[in-house]
Amino acid sequence: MTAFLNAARRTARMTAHELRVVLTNVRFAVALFGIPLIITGLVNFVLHEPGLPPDRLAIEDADNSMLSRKLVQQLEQWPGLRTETLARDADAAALVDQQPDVIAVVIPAGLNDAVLAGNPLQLRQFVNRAGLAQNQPAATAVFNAGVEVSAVAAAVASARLDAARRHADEDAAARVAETNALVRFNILRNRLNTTTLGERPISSFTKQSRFATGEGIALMEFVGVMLALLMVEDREHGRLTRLLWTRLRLTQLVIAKGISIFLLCAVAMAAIIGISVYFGMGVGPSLALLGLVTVVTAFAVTGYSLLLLGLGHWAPHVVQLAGVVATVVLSVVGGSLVPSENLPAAIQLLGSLTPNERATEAYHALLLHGDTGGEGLWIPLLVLIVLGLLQAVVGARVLVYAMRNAH
Amino acid sequence: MRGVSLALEPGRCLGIAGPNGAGKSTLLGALAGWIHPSSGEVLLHGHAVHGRVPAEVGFAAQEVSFYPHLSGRHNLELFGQLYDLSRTELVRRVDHLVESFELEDWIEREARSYSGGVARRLHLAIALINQPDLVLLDEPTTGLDPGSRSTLVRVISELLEEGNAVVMVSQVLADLEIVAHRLMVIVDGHPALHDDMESVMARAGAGVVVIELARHPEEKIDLGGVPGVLGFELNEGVLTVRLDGSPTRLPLLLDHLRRRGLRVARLEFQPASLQSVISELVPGW
Repeated sequence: MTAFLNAARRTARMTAHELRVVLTNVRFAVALFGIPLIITGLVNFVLHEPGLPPDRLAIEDADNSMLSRKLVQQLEQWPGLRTETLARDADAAALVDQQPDVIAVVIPAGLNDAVLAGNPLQLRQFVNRAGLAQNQPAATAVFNAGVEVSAVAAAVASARLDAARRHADEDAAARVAETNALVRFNILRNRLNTTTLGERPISSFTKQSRFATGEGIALMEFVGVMLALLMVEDREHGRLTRLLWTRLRLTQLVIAKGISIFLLCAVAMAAIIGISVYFGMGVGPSLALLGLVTVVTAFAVTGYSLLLLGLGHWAPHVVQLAGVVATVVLSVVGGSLVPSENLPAAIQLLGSLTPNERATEAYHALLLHGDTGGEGLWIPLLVLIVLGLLQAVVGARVLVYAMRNAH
Repeated sequence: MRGVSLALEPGRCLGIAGPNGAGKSTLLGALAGWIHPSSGEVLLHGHAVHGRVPAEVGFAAQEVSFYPHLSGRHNLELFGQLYDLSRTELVRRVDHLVESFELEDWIEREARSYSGGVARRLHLAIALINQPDLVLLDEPTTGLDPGSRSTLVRVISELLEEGNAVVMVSQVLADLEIVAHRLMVIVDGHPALHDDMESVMARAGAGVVVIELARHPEEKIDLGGVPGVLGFELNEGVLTVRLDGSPTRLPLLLDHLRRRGLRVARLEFQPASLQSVISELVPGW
């Protein structure tokens, strides 16, 4: 028991020491945190558009049919979207000119008749480009509504064709088909045709959240990489070897380094998110879950950093350069810098194995889709934990091997 | 390294010398338990040392290593904590080492601001933070100014007086002469010499007499029969004679020369040194 307590005490002291070395050294602290936080601050400052209330959608129902009312109802239920109803003769174009943050959608008169004819009219959307940045959910909702209306029209057209083949009443078949299609009518069900934000419709979007959960993860990863390289420098100066001449065991040293990397990465990510929240990003449905996602992401980055640390002791100069390059590549293929859906299929497959993509998925599930559970949130977190563990174990093994065979 | 066998008792110092690359640091690493010998074993207090440096050993490698952005005190405290020293003991040890190594003016400053001599003193102080029974020092005086060297030699002497055993690798033979009780000279991985320092110095004799003769001798000089002469060399009228340690040898030599009609124009006596012994053993070093 005493031996265990002593080991725990040594590990804690070493962890405190690692943190002190980084945090009391201005040069290290600036190198680790300065660049990510300055970039985050500047980007958020640029993206910040004060005074523009986000996510407003004005709806004008000029058709007033069963279909249009269903459409209006579902648009009003879109998560995180504030809607307002326009009078039938309102000037939607003038409205968005006066209020750039509002997107207006006009359900044209005759929509239902056109759908029953199997040839739908387009929803008319009015967008002021000056306010476009704030209206991603509204634009998505309107887009999805259009897709769903087209689906109803396609079902009707199919029913008409079938009735014509059977020499039955086409109009009756069309009405039945429309009624059946409206039962399944769900604009939330449709997939969003954008690669930036994942496949599901989002409930909340700001450029701040896009940045924090994309580039922010890459920046946190760089904090981990810089720490790993800093610790590799220890070996260059013989300090690591000297530490092991004390009662400190190699496993205690690795654990201490892992804990300090984890804490510093978590703090870095929390700061990146904090800055983004300050500039208008929502914290999602649960602050506790946001903390959990951040902790798990920091854990995964710690595993990656320990892997670099281990490899760095095995081949320091190669890994110092390769580590930075690998991190950039991970950020790219993992979707932190470029939406992964934009990449070739093979690269997407590779990207799905990176912490970046899984962390982005988890953050997006929480912050953009408002998930408080479900596979959209838990599966990425599980993968991050497994990836972090695997990389940490491999990194620690390589480090132990390199240290024990140093002579 | 091959063929090394040695024993060291408390309060004794083994000096290890030899040319660069001879294997001195490797031997020190093996004694510390840091380097694993392919055969043989190292025993400390009767227990085999392998795999890691025992807590009873203080090891200062040749390259100074500490955290430059922390103060000297923080460095000492960190390594002391990693030896599980209690707070009270840690404070006592740090204060003692600061005083011993004369670090009072530096200890609160960041270690990166230290001069080479002060840095090495801190490096060595860290090696002693755990109050080790066996102290292993690799080139501890390399690059030190005379003041720091004398401080270090004093500290090592104090360690020996306190009953610690010290193994010191050094190219500075004058330091080994002062502190070492035994000497091992390693050449090409083999101990070419391993003996008590007294015996080694006895081989060197009392010293070397350089005699400039008034005129070049007409006949061959033979000093073989002169008591106490261990060797001699005549080169262009300059006679270099190595004598043993007896105080009567020089008068006998001068009397011998006078009787041969050889007048001394100038005489210089160079006391024996470890360097002269080792120079014979390892020509060119």
